[in-house]
Amino acid sequence: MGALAGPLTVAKFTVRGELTDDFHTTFLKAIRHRAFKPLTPDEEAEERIGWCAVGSPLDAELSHDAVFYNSYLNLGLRIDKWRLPATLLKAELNDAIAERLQKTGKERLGKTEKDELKDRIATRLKKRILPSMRHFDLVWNLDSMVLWFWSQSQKTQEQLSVLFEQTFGLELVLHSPYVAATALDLTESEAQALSTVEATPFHAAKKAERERARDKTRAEDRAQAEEEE
Amino acid sequence: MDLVDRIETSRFLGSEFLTWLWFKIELFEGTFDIGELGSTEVWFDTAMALVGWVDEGEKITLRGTAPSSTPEAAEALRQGKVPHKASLRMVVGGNEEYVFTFNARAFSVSGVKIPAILTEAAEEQFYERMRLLEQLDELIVSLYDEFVLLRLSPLWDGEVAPAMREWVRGKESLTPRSYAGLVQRALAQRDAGARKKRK
Repeated sequence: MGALAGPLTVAKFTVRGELTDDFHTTFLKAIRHRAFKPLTPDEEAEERIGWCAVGSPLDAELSHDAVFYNSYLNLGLRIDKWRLPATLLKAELNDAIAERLQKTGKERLGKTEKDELKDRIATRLKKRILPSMRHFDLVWNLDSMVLWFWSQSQKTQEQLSVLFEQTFGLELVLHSPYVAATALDLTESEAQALSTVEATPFHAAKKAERERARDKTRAEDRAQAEEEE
Repeated sequence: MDLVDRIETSRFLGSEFLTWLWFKIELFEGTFDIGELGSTEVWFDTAMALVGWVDEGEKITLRGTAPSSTPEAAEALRQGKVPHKASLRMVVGGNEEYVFTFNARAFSVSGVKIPAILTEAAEEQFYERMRLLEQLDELIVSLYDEFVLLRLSPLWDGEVAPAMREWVRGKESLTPRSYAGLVQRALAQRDAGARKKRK
């Protein structure tokens, strides 16, 4: 899903923090340090996350022009993960266990032995398949400090936040009704009102009050029940 | 209450924003000025999902042309359901048309169809796409700014919410002129508050 073409389904973040005068140099160095590196069958990692060029998941060289588009900083977030076919893994493991039992004359294998066999089979299978690849674009407007990310999955957004803070030392704040309100130029009294605002019923006020009271009673009953447990 | 709690417990503001927008669209028959972008046509497009005000398990989804204008939509509002997701269509300056789904609780957009891009060069297409996405964001932020101005002013409980309740009941409430007067008064209160702080 991309910044350069295709559907626009995006999450909006505010980037909190200041840019230094030499941010082009420091950012490029930090991005390249965390550029995506492919998974290999022999290593332990099951998943790898890193930066690639926007719209180009196979480009992890990340030249200056591939990252900086005037007042925008563009990147791709690439996430690769080994997804071994569970049925095949189980079938090969069962065969391996049967073979080991026959060789050793044991009646059953311990957990450590089974895990060791499983790791060996997994490594062998990884040499025959490719990891699954997912790729999401991000566009960071360096003037407004707004970042657009082409995924609305909470888990993917969390993975982005971690890698972004590790790379740039800046915080990403996902927009929500509350965050969007705080981004406006509120006065002190408006900010105070926002911190204590409660929902407004637009239907019959008396019915709304009964619903709210009933909801509050149910919440209190649940809390009491949990305490008694 | 910490920031994370406050974010979660204020998600209702998204639904209130959509409800207010619905009210404003009907009041102004879908055409009004938005921020610095000027005259914009706004209407609910082909789908609207509503949930119960207290019990979010009560859901209804309306589909078809102008779902907000249906008797089912009016009845859902009267029963205390609020819109939490809706497809919207906006036309800026008479010719730049956007269609998108707005998720009120997440305050996010999805499936955005932007106006046609005329430039052919790939790099220029990127800048044009971003200009259009950021223009859509500006539309939404400007609308939200007006909603928040009213929502956090003393006029909300005293005048705006009662007017919206009358509208929900199918009764006449504000005129476009009296609504504009409310906005002006809220702005004046905001400016007075800001001046008081600077002193």
